[in-house]
Amino acid sequence: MSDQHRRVPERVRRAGAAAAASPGLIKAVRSAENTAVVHDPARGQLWRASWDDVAQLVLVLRIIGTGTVVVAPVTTDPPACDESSVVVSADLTMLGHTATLWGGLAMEVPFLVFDLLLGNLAPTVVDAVEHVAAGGGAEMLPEGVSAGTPVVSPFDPAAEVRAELSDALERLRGAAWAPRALGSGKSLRELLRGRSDVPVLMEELTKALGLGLPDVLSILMGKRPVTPEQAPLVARVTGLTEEEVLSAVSPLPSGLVSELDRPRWRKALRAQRRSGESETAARLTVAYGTLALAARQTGSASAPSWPQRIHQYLATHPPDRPDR
Amino acid sequence: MGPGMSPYAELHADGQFGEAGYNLLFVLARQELRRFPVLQVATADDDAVWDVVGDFLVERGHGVTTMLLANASDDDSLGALLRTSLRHWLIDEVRKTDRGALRRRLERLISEDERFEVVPGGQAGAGRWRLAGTAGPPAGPPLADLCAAAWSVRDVRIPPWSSEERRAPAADAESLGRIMLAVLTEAAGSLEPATVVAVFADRLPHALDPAEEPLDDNEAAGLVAGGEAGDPAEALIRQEADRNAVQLARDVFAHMSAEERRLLPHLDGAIGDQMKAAGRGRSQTYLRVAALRERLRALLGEEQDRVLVLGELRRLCGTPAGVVPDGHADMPSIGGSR
Repeated sequence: MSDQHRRVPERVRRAGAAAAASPGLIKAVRSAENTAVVHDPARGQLWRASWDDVAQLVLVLRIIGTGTVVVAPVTTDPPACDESSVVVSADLTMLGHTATLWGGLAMEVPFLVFDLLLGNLAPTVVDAVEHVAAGGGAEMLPEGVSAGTPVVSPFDPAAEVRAELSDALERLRGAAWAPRALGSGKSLRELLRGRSDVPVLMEELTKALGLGLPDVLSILMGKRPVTPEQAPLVARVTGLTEEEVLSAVSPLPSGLVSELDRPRWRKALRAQRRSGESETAARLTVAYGTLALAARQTGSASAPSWPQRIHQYLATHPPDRPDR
Repeated sequence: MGPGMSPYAELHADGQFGEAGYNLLFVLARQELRRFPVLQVATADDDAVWDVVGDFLVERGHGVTTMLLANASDDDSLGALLRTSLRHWLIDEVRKTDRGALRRRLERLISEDERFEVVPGGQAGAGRWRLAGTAGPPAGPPLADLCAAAWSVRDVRIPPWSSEERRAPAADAESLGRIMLAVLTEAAGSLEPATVVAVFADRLPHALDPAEEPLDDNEAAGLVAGGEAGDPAEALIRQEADRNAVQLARDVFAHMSAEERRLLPHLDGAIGDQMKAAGRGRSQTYLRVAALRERLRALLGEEQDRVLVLGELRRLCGTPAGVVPDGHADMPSIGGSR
């Protein structure tokens, strides 16, 4: 993509100015980005959900158990709907534009994808979304809410929009970062036991990963995670498979993982990313750092307060600190 | 909006596109337009691309800026979301163009085929279309009944397609005439041209489905010239099969997008293989498989030699070299008649 800026014709500028987002939405986004305290999702809220390269506006329909939420995608462009969706007028949301709430595509997603809370919808609108998605009639819908029109053919443009949304939600549903208990659960040191070239491997790892020897030692002991970006390098140097490398870490306590999945940490965790680093990598670093901090301070036998420990870790490891 | 700001920063600051945002839109529009040959006539210079950008902003701008502000979390996600929106709009533009072409073709049919006529001025329903020699009043049967009548016409043929034509024809004149006859007979009166166009669009969905990855000229020229003459599989089929079926397969092949060609050999395969061939998620792949089946059904109907046509299509779409389909077991299923 060229960086060269072209002269923008006046007619295009006028069209762009006329298409400016509503002041209500601009205010909602700024307010959400500057808020100090982020609570867990609740029914009726509109959130930006995101993970990797998927970003989707969603309406929270209900909370299920621990850290799982049923959401419906929300769109303003392209203009499309189906028979299990409702279309709401511009004045019923902070979006300031006609929106489609796709209740028929509702899906469970984990807490960790919740990114930015934009506002709330009236309970009557949320009820209408569920009513129409359940096959209820279009009568008795609140003012400004109408049932979507059916998709009658696979060539209908709305069919494509619906399929894209469904795939996007599927990817959000599969979002995960904490290592699963795979294979033997052995540390790298154990996997490499008996090999005579370990000192050489360690030296090669310091070069390949750009880390100091203490950090490489922590990785070998399973006390520091191997990030998805590092796994292929470690696999290449050691001759192990990427799966073996990724599973060769101490398991994380489920309480710590659940806590880090809450939206309240999202902003701080993203800020921890180094240039080019994934959110998964930043989360792993913070999680194992917090775990190490807890073990040093209280011993692994006691039950630490995870929010307190995470706060402590983040406070002592600002994003620009080289060893964070 | 300050100089040097990124599109995302501009949108955040002012709730609208700024200098960088407009330029991003320009670059994306120029790239995406290349995917739609039917629109390329308007892309000769920067001015024409800016016209497309302006039209996009007029028609979709507010929904797009709203979506971007609500969804995008950085410049990368803003660029990806904007590209998707632009592509959806361009596809709609292609459909409008194709529907216009279909209408013009049907207008020509009505004026040239003596079996049909335009209701003259002064009569009820002036300007509508009806069977010639009838005095049928304006009719308003359910669209579904008219579509069913159109679908009752089988053996729809598409004429040979050449690279000189930007848009492949929907069907040959004889087939269009038979469909028109069935539809106007079912109507038992005169119909609005727009209604007739909608019925034909339903019957010939391939006529309105934009191929996003067009053939290049060399590939198209090869098809029109008759394919790879030296291919032993080709020679075998020519000896054993109806020449018309092979030609029909080529014509259908010419209508298929590159993605459809990748999908066809997996039409009856596992969803995982189909997803791999399409390079898309599960729902988008399901949709494309359904659309491909529908297009093949519309193009092939109840052809006696449908199995043979599908076999040749499968070969053209890249079944391993030298494999010549010889029975029903190898044929992709496109379901029964509608």
